[in-house]
Amino acid sequence: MDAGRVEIPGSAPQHAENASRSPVSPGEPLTVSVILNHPDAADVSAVENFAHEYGLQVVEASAEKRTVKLAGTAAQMQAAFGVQLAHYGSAISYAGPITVPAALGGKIMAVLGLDQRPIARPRS
Amino acid sequence: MAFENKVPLPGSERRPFPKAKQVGPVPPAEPVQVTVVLRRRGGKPAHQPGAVLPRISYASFAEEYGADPKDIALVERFAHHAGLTVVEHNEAKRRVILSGPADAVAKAFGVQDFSCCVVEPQGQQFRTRTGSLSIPRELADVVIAVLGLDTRPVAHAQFRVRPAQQAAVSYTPLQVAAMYNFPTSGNGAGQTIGIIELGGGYSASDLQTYFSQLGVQEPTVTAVSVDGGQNSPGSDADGEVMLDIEVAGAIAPGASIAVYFAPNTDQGFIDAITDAVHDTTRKPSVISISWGGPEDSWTQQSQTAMNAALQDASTLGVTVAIAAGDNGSSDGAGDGKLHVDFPAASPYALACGGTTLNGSGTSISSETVWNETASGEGATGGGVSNVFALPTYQQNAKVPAQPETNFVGRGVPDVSGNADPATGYQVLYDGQNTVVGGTSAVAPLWAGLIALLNQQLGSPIGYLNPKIYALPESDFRDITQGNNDDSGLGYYSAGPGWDACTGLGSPNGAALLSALGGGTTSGA
Repeated sequence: MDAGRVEIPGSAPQHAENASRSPVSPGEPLTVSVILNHPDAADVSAVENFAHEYGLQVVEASAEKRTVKLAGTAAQMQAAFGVQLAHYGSAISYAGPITVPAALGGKIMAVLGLDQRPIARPRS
Repeated sequence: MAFENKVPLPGSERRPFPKAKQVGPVPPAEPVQVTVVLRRRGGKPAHQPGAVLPRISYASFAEEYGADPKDIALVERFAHHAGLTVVEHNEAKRRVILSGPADAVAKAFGVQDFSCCVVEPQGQQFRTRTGSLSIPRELADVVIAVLGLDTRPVAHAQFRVRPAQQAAVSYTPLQVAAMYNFPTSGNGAGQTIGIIELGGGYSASDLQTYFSQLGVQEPTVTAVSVDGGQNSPGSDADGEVMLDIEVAGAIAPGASIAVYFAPNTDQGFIDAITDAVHDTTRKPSVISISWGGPEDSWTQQSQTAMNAALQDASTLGVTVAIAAGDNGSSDGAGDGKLHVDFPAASPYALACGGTTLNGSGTSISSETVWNETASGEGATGGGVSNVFALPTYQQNAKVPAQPETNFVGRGVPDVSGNADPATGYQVLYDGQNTVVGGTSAVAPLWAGLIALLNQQLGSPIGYLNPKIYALPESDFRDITQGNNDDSGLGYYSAGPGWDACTGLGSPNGAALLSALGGGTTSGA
């Protein structure tokens, strides 16, 4: 079906060389936010079809928010997004770029939620 | 009859609080909310401090370590019997939250000497009780603790704060607003201010006390959950949450405040902004963000997605004020290089830097760049992005190229305001009067001002950046003294016009209102 896969540009997280890694349980439930390049209903449908193909559940889909939220297990996410998940320290993350079927290339800006390390600090 | 025989609740003994002065009994009708903590199901051992538990998912946590649904049902039956309302019940958190008038709550749990007290000189009021609580025999062993009856202040963790009495100088948000000549003819009515929080929570009773001490009406505050985030007070981040609400709310008490709570991940952060921007129920016209991280700590995809969410905000006419950071021109990255903070570095953010403000009434005696590095009290973030190109609106602002890379980037911040903890803001959180600083205070200060402007102008000013860079410098208080060099890197210094410490300057509220199309100036 998918002749090939394409990378989501800039989706490879940085990890320290010596970051400790431990396996993620294959059944671990995860929800990702797929952010689209354009607020386009046809692109939302394309992501929904992709989700069905990989057994992911569509939790929320909004063209205007350019966001489709998909739920599934760690094993399903690994297959759908072409990454190996692991606990880096206490938070789930992954190495290398995220890939998606070539048909979705150019439609997806970001896939968020596979890297769950804290991102921000309060400024007070 | 059920629930008639009472037994003492072990460990609930409270001693009198000698530092407090009793004001009188708690009024019978005063609303009181208590948290009833339940035992773990199936006789699981209590958590041992320092013990490492096997890793499990959040989903299986409730089943493994949570409360028994039968225990929760029993507590709910008791609540009904006692005339109390069940606000929330949660297996994983092993708690049931109940609310009701003080007299009903006191009777339900056998509260003794239920009193209103104050500690001089702050005059902040709280409740105390003495002796043990009692609970129905049916709940013996089921209930571990009943919290929230006695609200005496307890110690809290470290924070960039100073006790009110020790601060050299401190102000209420209203005093800062007066010095910045904020319009006094409106109160933000009809506007909603969105606030993004990635942790912590607020206490409704602390907010009530705070606004009543300030003598302003209490704004309507609503918590909105994003990706499972909750209003959950009890961590250091409470200081951030309360600062944001108290500053924005004091400036625009007529506005509604919607606080979007999300997990502290790139997903949570971005989803929270997206949900706030597209919230057709509450319709925030301005959003305040006091969280961030060094620009190069983000993946490109999450940075792109965040920038797109902020661009969508600008498209929808929502202004987003974002703190520029509290760790000088290094942004605390610790690699001996210059960094700006993100998302403040997004060209769609109104990036908010910090100053040291001295003055009284409506007059300012001095205002310089916030840099207290020498005393460990932080310095304003600011600099030049290595990711985002110089936006058109900054083309005449004389933003230097990034000194290390020569990248012609977006200059940060756009504007500023009082942020130095040594001239900080008087706030109340975790039951304590505290003085807090940081650019965290500047984002809600500007958000409050923008709510006032939006009300006066009759329509949201929306994406503000292109407008303010076209205004004459006199519409701002140009800050020309000081620098934000925290690591001996030699950058950046303030000077006339835009600079990478304080942007265009701190606000002259009435002048901005007039410049952006509002009627007569007011204030001083």
